[in-house]
Amino acid sequence: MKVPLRVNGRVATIDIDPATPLLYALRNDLKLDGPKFGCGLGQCGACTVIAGGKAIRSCVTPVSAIGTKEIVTLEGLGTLKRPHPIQQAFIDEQAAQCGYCINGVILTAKTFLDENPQPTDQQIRRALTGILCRCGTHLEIIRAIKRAAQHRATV
Amino acid sequence: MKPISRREFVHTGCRALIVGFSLRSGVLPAIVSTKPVNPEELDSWLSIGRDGKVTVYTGRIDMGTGIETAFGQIIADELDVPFERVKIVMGDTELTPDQGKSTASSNIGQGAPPLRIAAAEARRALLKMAADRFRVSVEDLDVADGIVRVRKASSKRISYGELIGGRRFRTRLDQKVDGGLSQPVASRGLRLKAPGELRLVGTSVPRVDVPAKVTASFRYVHNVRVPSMLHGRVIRPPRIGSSLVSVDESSVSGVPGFVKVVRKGNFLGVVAEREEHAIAAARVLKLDWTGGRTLPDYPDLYDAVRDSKLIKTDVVTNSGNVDSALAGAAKVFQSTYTYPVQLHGMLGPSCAVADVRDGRATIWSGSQWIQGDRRNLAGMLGIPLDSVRLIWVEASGSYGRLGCDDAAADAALLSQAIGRPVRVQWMRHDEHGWEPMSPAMTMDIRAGVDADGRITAFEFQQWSQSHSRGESGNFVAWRLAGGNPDWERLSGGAYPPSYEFPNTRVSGHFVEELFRSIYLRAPGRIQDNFAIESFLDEIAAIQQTDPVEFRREYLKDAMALQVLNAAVQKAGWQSRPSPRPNTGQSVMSGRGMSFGEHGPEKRAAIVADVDVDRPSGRVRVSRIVIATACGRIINPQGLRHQIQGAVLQGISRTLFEAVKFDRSHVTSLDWRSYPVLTFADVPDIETVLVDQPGVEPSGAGELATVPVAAALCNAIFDATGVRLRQLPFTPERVKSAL
Repeated sequence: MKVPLRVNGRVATIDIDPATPLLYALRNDLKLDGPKFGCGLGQCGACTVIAGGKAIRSCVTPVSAIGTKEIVTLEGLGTLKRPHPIQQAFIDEQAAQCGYCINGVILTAKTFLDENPQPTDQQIRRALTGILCRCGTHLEIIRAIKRAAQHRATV
Repeated sequence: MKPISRREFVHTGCRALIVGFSLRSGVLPAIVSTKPVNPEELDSWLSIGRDGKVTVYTGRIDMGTGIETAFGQIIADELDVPFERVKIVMGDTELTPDQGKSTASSNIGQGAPPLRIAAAEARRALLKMAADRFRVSVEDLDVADGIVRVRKASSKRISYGELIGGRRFRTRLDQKVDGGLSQPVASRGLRLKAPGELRLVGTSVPRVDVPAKVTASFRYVHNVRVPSMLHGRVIRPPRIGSSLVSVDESSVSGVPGFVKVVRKGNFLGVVAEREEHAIAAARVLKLDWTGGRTLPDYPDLYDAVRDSKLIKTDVVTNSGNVDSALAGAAKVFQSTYTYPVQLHGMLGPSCAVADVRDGRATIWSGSQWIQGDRRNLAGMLGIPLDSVRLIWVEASGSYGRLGCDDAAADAALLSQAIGRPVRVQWMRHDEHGWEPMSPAMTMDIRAGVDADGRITAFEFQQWSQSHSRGESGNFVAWRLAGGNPDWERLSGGAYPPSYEFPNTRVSGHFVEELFRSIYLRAPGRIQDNFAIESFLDEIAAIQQTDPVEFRREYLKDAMALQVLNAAVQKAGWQSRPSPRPNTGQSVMSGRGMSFGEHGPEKRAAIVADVDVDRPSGRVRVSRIVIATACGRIINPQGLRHQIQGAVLQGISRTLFEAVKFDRSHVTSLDWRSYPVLTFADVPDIETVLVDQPGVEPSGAGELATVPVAAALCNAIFDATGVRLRQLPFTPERVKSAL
């Protein structure tokens, strides 16, 4: 059936079974490669998107559960030419190795920083505990999120 | 690059090449140029456009470790061009010379030298062209940023683009055969730059891939889309060796967009128009399997390894006479250490796209050995080698070699059966259950000491299957389909200790396969190091000697001592024996150290601080200090990040990771049943990079992970007085030992 989705400031109508996990709609119908398949079980965070201001796992969220919520993917945050300050902080700290986890890390950090503008190291670690990184980029990631928080405080 | 004329194509006799396509926009490859790929020609490695842009072609690939950036630094320095002007094409059997496997931390040590030589040869050729043009000698020329100037006539200048732009060098390179591969070597009179002349090497140039990765504009193999592509999923047997009796195709007829069930022997896959429908079909397809292997009882794993059929024993060191030295020793110590089956566990499951039709195959894969895969895929598909093209696209990290090659074989078989391009991505249970794993090991050590407590005899024995059982055509798919070559290389066995003892014997017993295996970050070394470095700590503790002082007695290599000293100095190590006196508190703190090597020029020493929570048995690593030496440093920040990653993965493998199974199959099929390190578990890491400008550079991706397990084991002993000899140090294991 035809389902309208509000994604990154636009409305796209896709023809899909509403029980389909949002991840496949975003990747295969809308060609948004930010969210990634990691486990299909909501355990690793690679598929994270922001829906209605909350970071959710798109691999276990059916399209039908989205309704009119605005979805933001990593593409919607910033671009290569105009990265979002959080993305810029990740570039500045060189906080990616293979980078497969980074989608979930950045979008989780975005919603976390929206609610905790000046977090401690421990708060950042707790916020990211549900996001897995297999390359061991954790320390660079924590530094990048602190840098993004500092940037926020100065603008 | 200019389009080729028919005449040029015929005259050069080169294979037509395919570049300049965009997968993102779904445009099919188009023939736009030619270039050779044989390593004897400079044009195989490097070309310069009219705009002065340099394109370098390498058979090596970047797994997210920053290799593309490091290669760019090395090339730009040698060629005297700005870093930004160098573009690197990696891993395409039609475009890049065969440089073997991107494994064993060898991209810097073995992958970069041919590129460096090609850059130096190109620079020399360009200077010669400029000298001819200006009728001066080469000695009268200066070159910077890709512009050649006559030193005494500043108006006489010409750019590389003007000198060669778009044309070929037609320069032959001198060759040597190295590891079965023909590799260029510096020809007579070619001078490579001395360390003091390098501008970019040794600096932290930001990685070229990071901006795209954090803005979702990076192309992973998971993002490859080609026109008319279908989605496939594989269905593996319930047990290793099960036979497929029947398939009930009607069970999936109701799945929308369903295309086909593909069966070849015991290989089974489903193909559908949409990804979620392929997943649904794989889930509901009714199958009848029979037979298959019974696995050992999980608690008996290590006895099963020891008792497995012996394939070969390698005695890697046998100095003096260990048996008589042990017989004559005042005291003999012995211990057995065990190391579990572990996963690479890449975050993005194995994925590939294959287009196999009309007798040709194009396969997009995260493979670390495109040429080897090409040969094996050609064999599996029954297609001539020349008709198979492997295009590497970055996958999701690599910590050895993973299921990338397997997914390529899956996609290839499905596409061949359908006659359309097929994308296969493994589900998480496919990855955890069927990736090529790091095998279980059991290790016995004995040491004899004289009346003064000095070690006079050292014997190390290791039982393990080879770490290469998944390589070279032993794809899951080919095994299941039947007829795979069952190639066997015995790798990842015993390594000699870093220490000098008067009598030493080190043996590796290679036994039969339990699970399909492939290299996982420092294969063999990480396990051996855990056993040897823990065992030395045991003896030091019995002799009430400080563990660092104890090691210094037997560590004779100056570089090893320098690295060891750098780590303990940075950590503020206080000399005292372990364990620390029991304070009676519920959280017990301790410190431990370990020294490790990875190849002849790579050394690392770690000091770890841990807290052990007595009520829960939970181990928290609070601080890691690591010193490393791996030759000349190309990119300090990149190196530091590699080291941190290797340490964190080492902590994960030490504290959390073990593949579990029942009598039928692997039961660690997701991240709950195979837990790994999380952000909450990450300690502070301080790195000391010992630079050796005069030593050729080598990679550190494996080195830094080698000594982690023993350092934690020794720290736990220091904290608690309890010696753990079996990984992982889970809360349950620690608690029951306390």
